[in-house]
Amino acid sequence: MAAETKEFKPKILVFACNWCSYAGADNAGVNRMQYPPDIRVIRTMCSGRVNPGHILEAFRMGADGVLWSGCHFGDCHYIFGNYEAEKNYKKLVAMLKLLGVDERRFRLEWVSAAEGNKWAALIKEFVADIKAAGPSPHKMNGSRMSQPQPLPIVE
Amino acid sequence: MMDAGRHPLIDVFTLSEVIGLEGRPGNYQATVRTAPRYVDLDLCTGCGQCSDACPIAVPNEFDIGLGTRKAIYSPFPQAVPNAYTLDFDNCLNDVILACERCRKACDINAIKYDDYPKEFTIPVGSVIVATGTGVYTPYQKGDYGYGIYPNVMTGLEYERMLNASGPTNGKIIRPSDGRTPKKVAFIQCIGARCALEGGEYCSRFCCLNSAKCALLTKDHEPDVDEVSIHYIDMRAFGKGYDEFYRRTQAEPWIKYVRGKPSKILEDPETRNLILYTEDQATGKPQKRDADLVILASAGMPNREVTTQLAKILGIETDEYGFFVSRQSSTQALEATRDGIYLCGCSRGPEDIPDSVAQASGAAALAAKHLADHRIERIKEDIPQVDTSGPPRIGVFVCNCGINIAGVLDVKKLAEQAAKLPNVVWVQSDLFTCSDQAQRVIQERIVEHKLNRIIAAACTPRTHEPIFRETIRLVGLNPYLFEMVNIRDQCSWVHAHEPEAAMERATDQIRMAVARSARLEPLEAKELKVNPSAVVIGGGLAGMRAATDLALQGFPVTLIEKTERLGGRSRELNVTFPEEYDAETLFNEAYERLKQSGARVLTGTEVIGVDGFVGGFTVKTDTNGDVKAGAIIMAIGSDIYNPVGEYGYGMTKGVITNMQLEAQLKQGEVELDGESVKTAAFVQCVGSRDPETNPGCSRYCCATTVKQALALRKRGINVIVFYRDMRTFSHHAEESYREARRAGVVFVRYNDDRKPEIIGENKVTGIRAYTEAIDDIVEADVDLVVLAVGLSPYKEAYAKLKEIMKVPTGPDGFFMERHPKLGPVETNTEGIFVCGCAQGPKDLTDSVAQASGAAGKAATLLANETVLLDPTTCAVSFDLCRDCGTCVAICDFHAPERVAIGGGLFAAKINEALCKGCGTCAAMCPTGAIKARHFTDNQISSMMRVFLLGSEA
Amino acid sequence: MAEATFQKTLSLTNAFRCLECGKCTAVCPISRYNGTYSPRRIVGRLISENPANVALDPNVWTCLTCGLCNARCPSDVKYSAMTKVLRREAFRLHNDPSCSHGGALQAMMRIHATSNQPQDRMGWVTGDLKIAEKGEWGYFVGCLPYFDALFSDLESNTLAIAKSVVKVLNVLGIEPVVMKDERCCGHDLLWGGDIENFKLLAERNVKMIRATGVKKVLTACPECYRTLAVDYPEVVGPLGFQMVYITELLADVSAQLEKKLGEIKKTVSFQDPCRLGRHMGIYDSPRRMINLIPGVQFNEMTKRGPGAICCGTSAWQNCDATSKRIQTDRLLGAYNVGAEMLVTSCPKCYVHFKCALQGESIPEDKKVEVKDLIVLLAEALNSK
Repeated sequence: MAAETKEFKPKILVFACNWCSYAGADNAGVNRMQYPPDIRVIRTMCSGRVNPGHILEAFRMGADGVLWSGCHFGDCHYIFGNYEAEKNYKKLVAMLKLLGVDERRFRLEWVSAAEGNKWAALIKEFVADIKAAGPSPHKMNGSRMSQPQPLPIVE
Repeated sequence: MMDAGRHPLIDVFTLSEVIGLEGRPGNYQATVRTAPRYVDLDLCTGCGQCSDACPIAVPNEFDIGLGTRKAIYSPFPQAVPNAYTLDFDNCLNDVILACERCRKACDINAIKYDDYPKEFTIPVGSVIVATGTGVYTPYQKGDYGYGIYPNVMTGLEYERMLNASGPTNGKIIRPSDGRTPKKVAFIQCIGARCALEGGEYCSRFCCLNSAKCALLTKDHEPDVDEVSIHYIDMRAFGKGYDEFYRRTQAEPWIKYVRGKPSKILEDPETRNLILYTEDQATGKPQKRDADLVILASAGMPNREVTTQLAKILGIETDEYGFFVSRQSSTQALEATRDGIYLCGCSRGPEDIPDSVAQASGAAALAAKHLADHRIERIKEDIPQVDTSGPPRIGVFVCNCGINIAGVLDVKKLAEQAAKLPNVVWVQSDLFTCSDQAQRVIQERIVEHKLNRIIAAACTPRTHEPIFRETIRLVGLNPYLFEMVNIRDQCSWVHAHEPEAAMERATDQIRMAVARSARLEPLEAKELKVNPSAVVIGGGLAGMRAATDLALQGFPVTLIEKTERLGGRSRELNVTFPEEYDAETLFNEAYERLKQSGARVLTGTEVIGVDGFVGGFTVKTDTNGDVKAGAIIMAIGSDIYNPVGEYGYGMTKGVITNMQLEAQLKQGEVELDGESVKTAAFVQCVGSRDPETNPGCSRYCCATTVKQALALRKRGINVIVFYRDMRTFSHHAEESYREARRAGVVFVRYNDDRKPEIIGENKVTGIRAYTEAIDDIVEADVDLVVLAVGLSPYKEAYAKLKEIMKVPTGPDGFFMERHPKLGPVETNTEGIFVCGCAQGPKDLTDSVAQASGAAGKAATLLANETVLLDPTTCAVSFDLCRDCGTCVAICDFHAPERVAIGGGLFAAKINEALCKGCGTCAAMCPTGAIKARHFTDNQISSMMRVFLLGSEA
Repeated sequence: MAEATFQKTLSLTNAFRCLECGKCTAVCPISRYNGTYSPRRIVGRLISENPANVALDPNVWTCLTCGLCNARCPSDVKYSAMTKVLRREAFRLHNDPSCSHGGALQAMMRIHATSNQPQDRMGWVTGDLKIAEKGEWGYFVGCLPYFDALFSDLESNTLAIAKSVVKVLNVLGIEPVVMKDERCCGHDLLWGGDIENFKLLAERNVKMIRATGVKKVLTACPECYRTLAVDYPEVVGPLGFQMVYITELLADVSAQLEKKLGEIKKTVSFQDPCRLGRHMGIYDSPRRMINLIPGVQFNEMTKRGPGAICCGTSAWQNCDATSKRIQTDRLLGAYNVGAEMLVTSCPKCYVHFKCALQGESIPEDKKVEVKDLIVLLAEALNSK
């Protein structure tokens, strides 16, 4: 029992677009494809809705992994939203590399509404990767200060 | 499918057939017989407990027998209605000892073993036949061993195997041993283009389908070494198809092999297959081996069924059992009885884009008979719940029978939710989506003054609209509803880890509560729709679109730049395939247009468009402004100018097929007064050429066949130089065979070795290398006809593209919203496209698509107002830096740079154009753009709750 | 915030001395465009109302803390210093600023403050640049690698600044110590009210710099310069090393440098960064550097030196239409004195001006080039 409680339970945030990836996740459900429950999903209408702040904030708040998923190129419900997502993704990959974030912790993937099996396989793989990567070293210690501390005034 | 199932004005009768049709157009009585489902449609929630309990497994028809289903089952995951059905033939209750497992498993008593067939009559104005087609089953002639050798399967079976949620989860296996094949061979034209088996017609969709499957094969199984496609002509005729074909040709592991095997034998030990075919380069027989063979089976109706239906409906079928059009060039969608319309594969094989466009067209034609019966939206008066106070959240957790409760502790989830901030009411129900539970939600809203509702149940993609409607009916803004998916994305997929699944469900509910507290009521804006339309372009397509809309009672203005209506059709002699006189055809079309009451402005050009869906102002150069709720673009296409190719413009005797058509119209085909002895056609001039027009022009092969036959009738010898004969259209393949029978010589040339013209000033001969005999064919000819492609009008397209804000594709033609889901719509709502403006096509397809555009426009115009989805984006002028990012990235042109006074500019989002994707909000550097219903605050509150454990 | 603490703050920043003359509002670059913002009123409310109310006002975040009002105040009210303290209270009360780029930069800084993961930030040090492990001089790079990643689409190359610094130093025979795990200086968190994370950053950086044993630390970023030189000692005590702004060093050795500079034929103007000028009093050395380059014609803008208008955005927060107008005016100001290029010596000014050149606010023919001073110097070195 003691060993079990010590087991690393990763915090994994997933952004899924409504039309493809979220639907693909539903499809996995309809087909009862089993995958690990370590993810928490936030649905957006388009993968393009997610901005660099969301991703970096997630890591700041201690996410062990962030998965960002949208429609395949050419399938975007909004035509090119996923291309914009990819632009931001490239910037973020550069930022996260600088920050020393293990590259396994952040992925952008395309999953269509019919690809329930791809979704299940992807989550399995991602969760396994995050478990291998271990707890995030980027967790912030506490959020805001409880009491303000007087500081000398300087000009 | 879901849209149709949910539409308030569409009644879907499944398991039903029409058994009688009395009356006349506008006033038919259709008798319908519904077979028993044995499951109460009103009660069934689609939870699937019955199916889990059922002990009987039978082959699954949807997976073509590759997988299994239960005796009580849902045909496939997205089935509409989302209810189960009992296959009584396979049910154990048939025997004396009752099984009743499913009835016991059903918590809401939806299963009725005593269900019986019902007959009823419904009054209808018109009928659309969209019965599709079956597929030729290659059992009938055993040359290829289908049904004998396990490793020979049909294209449709292969498709199921490629499907990620199919019977093999997307794995490609040999049925004989479950091994991944190394060599896959496709054989085209199974049951098509053949006098021996199936039909002589072209089945149209199979070439590209095989090319697609070939490409996907390697995606699914990287270890496959070779995929070969055995074909006669590659008919990649659709928009973008040739580009796709070229892409597959570039793959080294995809081999296109010309020719069809004579037979296939199986090695009984390895169960590998040997294809006996000809090596066309040497002319010698060869054997090729494959470990999996896919037969690209043609579309073919079940003749017995269709002729029976034809008898009931009083319409005709052809020898194969396809329904017959009144006339195939301009009345293709009309059956042979008034008020009955055809679309899709019911009248012959079609690919998806053409099928869908035809469906809209048939709807437009059918609507003529319904114009007097439009249903007005009922006005409701519901007092609104005040939502300005602090959030009072009600959480409803669904058991979904045992679908959720079997894995998650629903009671505990509800108890936990009760402790969350702002939550004032929680409860759990057996089925939260049931009518009973929905009424309870409404009562609780009133009783506890709830102003936010959360349902922790299944997926918002299917059930959010139901809950939104429920809370709307008691005056709570529908956008204050939030859904947590603890079934499809929790209990169903984490069934073996209930504790961790509980943790996930707990977190997702907490996240939803945080988001819910931050939701804002949103009001859908109503835009008045001006119930009139403008059609730009007065060719046959434009005339048809205008006629169809005007006949439905909408004021229509048809604007034509030149002084003459009819466009390209006026240059034609006769149509294909009926050889209908083109002048008569035009006159008939013109007569119908006049009678429809459409207003026609010739010699008028569109110089600008203002406004948006429902309220456009179309500005013209000579006739002022025209107001319209919808616009249809039907500006046709230019003809490729082949100057400099094959001596055109320099060598006498080289003309285009259009020039030949003009001569045929006049009667005699002559050259300087002298009769012509031998004519040669050169196909694909300005088509299928990445340099000029990348795609197939679709009309030219059939036209050449038509013209060649006309020349043969005049005693002229004809040679046709072609790359692939693409006589895919209705009756074109049959005419192609007729031309061959009539002595027309067809010589295939290669892309890289085009035919050469012989003769200095006057053409005397033509020569070309042909692979077919590995030699050069040379012939004395006195006339060379270039079958020229269709290309966009450069200037007109550029101008209209700017005015309409509708993009053009890489081929230069206007881009449809989606090739399959929106073939006549554009990215700009309220603007439609049809005919050659969308891409090259023949008369039949142009006119059918024109009716389609009219149908889609009518759907919009029939409403007094359009409701705009309020989940759009908005710009705060104070924060906007006028950087232009949003303006540049939005493909719907919703953000616009506007003057905001003081010489300053900012972006403003037009809510009528915004689709609410929120990409601009993510790309905005300052946060000036708010994506309603998906705000940064809402998103980050969910992140905080999950990652930090609190909303702070 | 404890009432007494706040009264003390008001007293220390001379808020009680306010004569309500309104010179601050009259000179404030924000107030010029945003008529609803008045520094005088904020001071007035602070001394007459419950400070918590004022801390909840979104206008707490409007000030650029550029110090122009301080310079003009007849009563020596230290408005920007007061704002800094007020923001701590606002932050504590969850009155958050509106962060640019979705808060990506603030997230990055806070990760710097708490993450134990080594960074991978030295990719820009190419073989031609000589840096050392030990030595007298350190070079504090700042967030340049991060800006380079995030603003890749602005055609801004912020890492060119870091490369140019090392190049110029190498020419002078200095091989600076560059720390491979240096963190954000915390300037933006300090001015964004997040004292806790600022302190963590200060402690980490100072500890790291001390460990290298360098005596003097150079920086080419006025914000890092001010933060390390002025704000760090307040939380960590005496630094144990000296902070030097790059142009101050270069001005001392200008004779040595001059010989190596090639010609650049350009008419340029100069943007005084607020942290460098009014905060730290450095006006002269950057100008001497510009004038050192042969061929450069230096035209001053009308508002310059102690009276210069700042670049319009501070601490990656509350960037808005007003910011853009200030930036547009500065860029047009340079154009109006005949400059083809606006030279600045702050990476933030550089990014903000680059961003302001986007879109159609400034006609194409009036858009001037924007360049960092040290990059211009390095180019002059190359052209020799």
